[in-house]
Amino acid sequence: MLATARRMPLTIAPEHRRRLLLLLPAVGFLALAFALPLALIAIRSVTDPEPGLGHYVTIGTVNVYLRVLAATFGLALTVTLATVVLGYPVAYALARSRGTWRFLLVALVLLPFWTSLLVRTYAWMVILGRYGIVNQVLMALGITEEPLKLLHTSLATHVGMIHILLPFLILPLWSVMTRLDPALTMAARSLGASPLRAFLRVFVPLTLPGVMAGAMLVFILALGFYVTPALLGGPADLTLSMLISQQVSELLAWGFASALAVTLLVATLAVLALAGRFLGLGRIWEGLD
Amino acid sequence: MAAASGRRGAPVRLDGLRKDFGSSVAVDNLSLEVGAGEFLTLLGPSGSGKSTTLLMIAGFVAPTRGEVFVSGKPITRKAPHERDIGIVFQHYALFPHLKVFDNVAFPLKMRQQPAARIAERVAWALDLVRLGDLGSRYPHQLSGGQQQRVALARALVFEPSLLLMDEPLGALDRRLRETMQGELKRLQRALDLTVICVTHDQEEALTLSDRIAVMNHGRVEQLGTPEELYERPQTPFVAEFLGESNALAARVLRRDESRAVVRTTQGLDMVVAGAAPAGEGEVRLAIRPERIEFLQEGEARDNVADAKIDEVVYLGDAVRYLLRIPSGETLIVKARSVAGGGPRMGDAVRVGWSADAVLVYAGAGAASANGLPPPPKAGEGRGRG
Repeated sequence: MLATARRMPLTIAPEHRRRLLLLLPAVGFLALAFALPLALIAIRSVTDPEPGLGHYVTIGTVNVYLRVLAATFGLALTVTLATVVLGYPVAYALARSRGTWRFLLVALVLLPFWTSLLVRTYAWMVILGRYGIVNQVLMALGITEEPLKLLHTSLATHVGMIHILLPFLILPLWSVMTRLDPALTMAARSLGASPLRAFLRVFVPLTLPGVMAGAMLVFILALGFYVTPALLGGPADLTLSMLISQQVSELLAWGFASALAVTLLVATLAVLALAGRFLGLGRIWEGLD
Repeated sequence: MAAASGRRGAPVRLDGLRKDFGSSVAVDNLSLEVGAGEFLTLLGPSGSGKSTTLLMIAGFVAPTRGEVFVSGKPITRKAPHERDIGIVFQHYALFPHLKVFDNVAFPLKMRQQPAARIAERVAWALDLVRLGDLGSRYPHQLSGGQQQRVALARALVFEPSLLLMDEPLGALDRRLRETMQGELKRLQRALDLTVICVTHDQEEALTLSDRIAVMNHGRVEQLGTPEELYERPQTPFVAEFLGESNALAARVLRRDESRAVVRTTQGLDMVVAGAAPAGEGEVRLAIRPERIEFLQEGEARDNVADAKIDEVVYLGDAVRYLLRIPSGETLIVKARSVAGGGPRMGDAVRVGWSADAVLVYAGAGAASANGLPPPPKAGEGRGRG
């Protein structure tokens, strides 16, 4: 994908130029609804309440903000790793299944995916609540006498986010796996590789681009997650998006909130750039052509 | 160069192989023997069971019944990676994430060979296919022909007892196919390889094989050398599938020891050699287009017919004519092209063919004008047969 984009000519033949007009509505919409507000936020972060980089200095020097930033990235990273570990086998099962099984598995992945994020988050509140299913089972089994505190913990945040973000990993990975020529694994087998080694030496490396694509998607979404950590997490589990919301709605500190938002955006882009460079995403895509 | 290989190919025996998919029979009681160092091709249209047979030999499909023997030992219950069989896949299946060297080294690494030995063997295999200097390239940086050679080197580097090939030349353009045919044949002879090849392409089969097994509906219709199959096809299917044939339905009018006279459904009488099969008298005939000749004034043959030329297709070295004879049949005639041109469209001509040019098969030719399924066209039947 990346490789294809790179190979595309940058010049457009004159006879095709008029077709560019078709882009106008979308570009116009994006400019108005995305680029412009973003620019306003960036400007506000250095002008409100007074001109200068004061907000950024605060973010960079006050411990608590750095800690929230680190915690946000840490949460996103843990969630991403967990979705990879949990999602890869599911995608593999999907790619290998046929008929009824496949239908069933696809439904199991897609039905939650199509359900509102808020509904799923509330569902987790019911499940993890003081008298929720989990606690009732634990007590019925005599494992615990008192209900455990599961809701409003870091664990609940993780569980909820992993559940909500799993399809974003499974679906692109599944697509890469089904596109992989089955003859490749057969070739490895015929050349003397046991099923496990054929899987590890051929199947896994060749589906890595799918893992990367899915993990990137999950990571970026997790960085900006707001509803789920706000509803499931405890007071100690503050993420950057919650901090921004707090600054705006409780303290009316628009300028500082803008600076936090810009920080999140820049940090996300930086991570993406680094990942692209060191994981060699482009090379992996090229290899798949 | 080839002498670096100490092992020769092993004999292979298929004994009563059968594969059912649900209620349909993909391969039905298939038995054949392949000699050590022999190149045998399974030739047939898609759905004939040839690919399923190949997958059973390789171990990717478990036979419903029957046994595969290599060097006299049954391998039917062995996993694919324990079978010691090299496979060249139709689209090569080179590992895109590995360089050419590592692709070829893969089977040796799987066999835990020491690095020095791997380097030596890979160099040997790449030299074998004349790609010695391309080890550091990735497969996608190679042409189709080079990829094909890498696939071959990878399948040969561990000196398998048997080499399987699935439509080995199918993905190459015409000129490259001819070069590779020669190379393949040279390698196979030099290394004394046992090769079982699967294809729907008769030209590929005729040029490469020591023997060909023509398959249809999961069974072997005929097994023989290319020459035997072409000259003496034992069934109308073989006659039609290998090369081109004029297929006609006919009835035996009378016969004696050495010849018979038959009449086609449209009423053309002809003399055929050999004792026509006994029975109801219904037979099917096949005549190769190149065995029908244009006759000059006064020339005679066992069978002669007046005809009108309906269509002329210039093929370069030959010309293919479609003739209509007064009784209503159409005949395909293939003749060498001559400078200045032969007969033209619309010409009235006289054609003749000898009695032994007519192949006669028992069985009612209840059938279309041609009596046989149409031969597969190039490009069709690429799927697994």
